[in-house]
Amino acid sequence: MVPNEQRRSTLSSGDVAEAVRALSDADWARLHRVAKFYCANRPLNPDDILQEAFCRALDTRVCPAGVSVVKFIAEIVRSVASDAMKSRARHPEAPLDDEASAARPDPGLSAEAALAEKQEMDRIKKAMIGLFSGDPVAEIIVEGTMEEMEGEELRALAGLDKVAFASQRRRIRRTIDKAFPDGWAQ
Amino acid sequence: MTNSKDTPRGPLDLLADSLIDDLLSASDEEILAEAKEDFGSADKVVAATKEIFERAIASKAKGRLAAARAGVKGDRERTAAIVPIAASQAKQRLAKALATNPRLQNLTMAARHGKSASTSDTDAEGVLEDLIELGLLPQNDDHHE
Repeated sequence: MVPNEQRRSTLSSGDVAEAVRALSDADWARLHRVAKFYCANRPLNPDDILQEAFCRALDTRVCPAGVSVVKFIAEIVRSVASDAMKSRARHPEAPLDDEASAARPDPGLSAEAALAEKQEMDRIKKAMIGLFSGDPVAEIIVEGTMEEMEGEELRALAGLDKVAFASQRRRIRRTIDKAFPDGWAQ
Repeated sequence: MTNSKDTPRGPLDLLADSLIDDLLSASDEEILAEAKEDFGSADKVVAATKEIFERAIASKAKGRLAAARAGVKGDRERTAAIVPIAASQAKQRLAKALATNPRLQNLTMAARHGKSASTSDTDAEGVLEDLIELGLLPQNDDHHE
């Protein structure tokens, strides 16, 4: 029995469905783009990932009341894409809804697979940074982000205030969108 | 999109997280203009995403239907497994079972039916079938009760 207080603090499956159906056109387009980004460097189909995220949003995940439904679903998309890669590394035919498989301890990649994965990641990293070779500020932001820098630290490194940083990051996102319309893992 | 839980994020995941933060903070007008620029029409993207959501709803409903079907099938199989007992033999078999099995004697309802002189063959048949369905008696009388 869920206590009343807890019930009030989360949305029911019906509430989530209603909130999703009431999303603005821009929010639908946002979710579409979120799925594309999280599949960009992975051999995953964004439509399948988004459908599984919607299923989990309606079924196994709990949306706290007051949280943006778009952010809630975007976070599930991230998690589905991550789970899919984990379970496919172990079972290539695993369905996307196999949450249990992804949750099992990771036996780790073979040395050959780990090396191939690292080389592929380095190749994509170089390609990303290469997109901004004539733009040192954007290059710093891209490299810094990939080195786990964020917020004030990254803005200070790039010498930008909040507004200028946001504007640069938007330009970076659009440059990457246009350079890799079908994902980064090409 | 910053997240504090689970496994460490690789460089490309960190970049995706940051770009998605930007995507979530962009204005509606910017997002729709980008969708139009990238796909020729924002409406097309919106319709395709709504369709994915409706597929998720349908898939969830199908899952519930399959679970309900499995439940009904299980009930039918359990019911079908019970072979009807001839009414004329039921009273005799029930009395024998109650006489040899003290556990069943505690089932007062069944005991009352079995011992009563007025218990009809049909009553005995029903009680016997209930006891078999509950697993308290074997299906066939060949077994020792």
